[in-house]
Amino acid sequence: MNDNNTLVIKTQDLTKTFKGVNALNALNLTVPKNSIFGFLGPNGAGKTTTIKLLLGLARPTGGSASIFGMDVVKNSTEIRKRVGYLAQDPRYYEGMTARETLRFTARFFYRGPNQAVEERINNTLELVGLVDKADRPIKGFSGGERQRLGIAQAQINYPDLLILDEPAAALDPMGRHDVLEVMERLRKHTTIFYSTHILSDVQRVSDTVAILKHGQLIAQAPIEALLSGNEGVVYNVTFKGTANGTQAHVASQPWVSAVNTLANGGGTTSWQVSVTDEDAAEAHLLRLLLENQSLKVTEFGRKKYDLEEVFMSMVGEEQHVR
Amino acid sequence: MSANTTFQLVNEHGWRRGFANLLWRENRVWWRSRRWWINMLIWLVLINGMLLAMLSTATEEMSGSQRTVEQILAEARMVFGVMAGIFGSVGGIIAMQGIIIDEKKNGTAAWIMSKPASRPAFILSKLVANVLALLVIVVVVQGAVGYLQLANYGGSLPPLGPFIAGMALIALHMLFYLTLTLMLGTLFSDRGPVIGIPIGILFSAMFLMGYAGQFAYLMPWMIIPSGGSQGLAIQVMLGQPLATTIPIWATIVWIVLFVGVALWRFGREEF
Repeated sequence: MNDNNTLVIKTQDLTKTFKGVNALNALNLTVPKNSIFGFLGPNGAGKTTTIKLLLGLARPTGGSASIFGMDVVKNSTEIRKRVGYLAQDPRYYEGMTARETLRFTARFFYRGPNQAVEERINNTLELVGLVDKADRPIKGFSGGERQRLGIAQAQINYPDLLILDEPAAALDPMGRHDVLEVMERLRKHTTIFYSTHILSDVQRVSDTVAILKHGQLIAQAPIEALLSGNEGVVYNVTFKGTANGTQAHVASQPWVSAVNTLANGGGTTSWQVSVTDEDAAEAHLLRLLLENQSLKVTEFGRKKYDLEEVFMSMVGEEQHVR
Repeated sequence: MSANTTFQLVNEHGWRRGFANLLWRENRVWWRSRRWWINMLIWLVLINGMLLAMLSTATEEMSGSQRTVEQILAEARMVFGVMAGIFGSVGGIIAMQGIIIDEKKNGTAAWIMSKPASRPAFILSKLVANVLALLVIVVVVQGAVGYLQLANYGGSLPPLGPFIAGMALIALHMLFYLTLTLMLGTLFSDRGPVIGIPIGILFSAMFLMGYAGQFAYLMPWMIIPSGGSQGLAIQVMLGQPLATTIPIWATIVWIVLFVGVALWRFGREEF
């Protein structure tokens, strides 16, 4: 299948240099259609720079990028017709109300019919929970309300791609919960590319993740693959009873590369079984264990990593993350 | 976009993309707030208030002096030209100083540029809306009130054509400073040079005109009364032949250049 049909964003060696300092270094990124793509990295990693390059707010010093198959430099306006954007610190015209701001934003895309536009504005205000504040000037809005308005204006045009720069960073836990819920609701209709350093949010809503460090991409993978770790496929097994040669029997299988005992106490034993053939392990590993009838398997499953573990191992302990 | 069938899509292309919407917003800032009448009142007091004071004083002094009504009216036109030309331009510079810089600094320019709007549309909407508002408030309204004051004092309507032509030159003089301020807003990130450079150029006419030599012809200084000279605008109002039109053409060239540089620079702006 053509890349244009499956990929929404594609960058090739995308580079941005500010006064001799590489803010972004040869970034190669692919964002699949209809994904919620989490763009991770510590502060200063180049996340916002990447977003600005994609939106045409800054010019690349090297490489190229395309959205919907169109070049971000040559076709920026055409691209922006189909994109919604929420900035890290969203700013609007303070004298306008939320409704007026949405009306103003909608006029960049639609010139009518008025009734349909007003209906769209009302629905959007409802979606982000700003109906009761719709006709108040923005200058009185809290950080969370501004963020909600930001999401509202970003998706007023039914964008095919929603770019959100730290959408939940300024919010309290309730606000974050609401924003993530809105994102999950929107995933049916659009691709969401969002930057964040709140790892629990990423783990909750993203299906694909990229990690950036010092302007360089250090990982990009579906979240499941990333959480499986980079040590190959490992199964965790916990059981009660005496293994009596079962460990050696398991270790002798051609698709098993190692069996390590993790803990041995309180009558339970835990193993980590590293395998080279995932299908064979799925089909036979549990059966092999149960052949020994004195064993009571209490836990069995593929080892999952916490995103924070993965992130820290890749980015390094010295970086601060929440 | 799934909504394409429900909505009528904006069908603007090239530099016009977003222009109508941005112009609507800029006009709203002027005309749907107190701003227009506050400005109108300030300029009425500064320009026509000064003309009224001058005419009232002249009436009181006339009995003991040799001056004729015609001489007083000529002086009144000078005063009006100075006030409208210098203070009008100062007001314009003040009004224009933050329109680009403030939006670059507070992030609203980046927000607008993330929508399908062209960069020229952003600059031109600001230029058109602000120039229009300032010309109406500072030139057209003040010109009309000034004309009526002169007519009232002289007892008959002064020739309208020359008066309008003179006001058009005052508008051209003001446009030089408005476009200069706009351009500086795209070049700098602080208000200091954006307001300082145009004010410096405007007031340097008073001190440097005598030393500027041929260079003075290339500046708008000679359009309004300055350094003892009547200025081209007043000459036109009085129906006198113009000694030169070079400053008028030079000012037009400057204006085009300033707008061109503003468009070019903002086109390269990174947010």
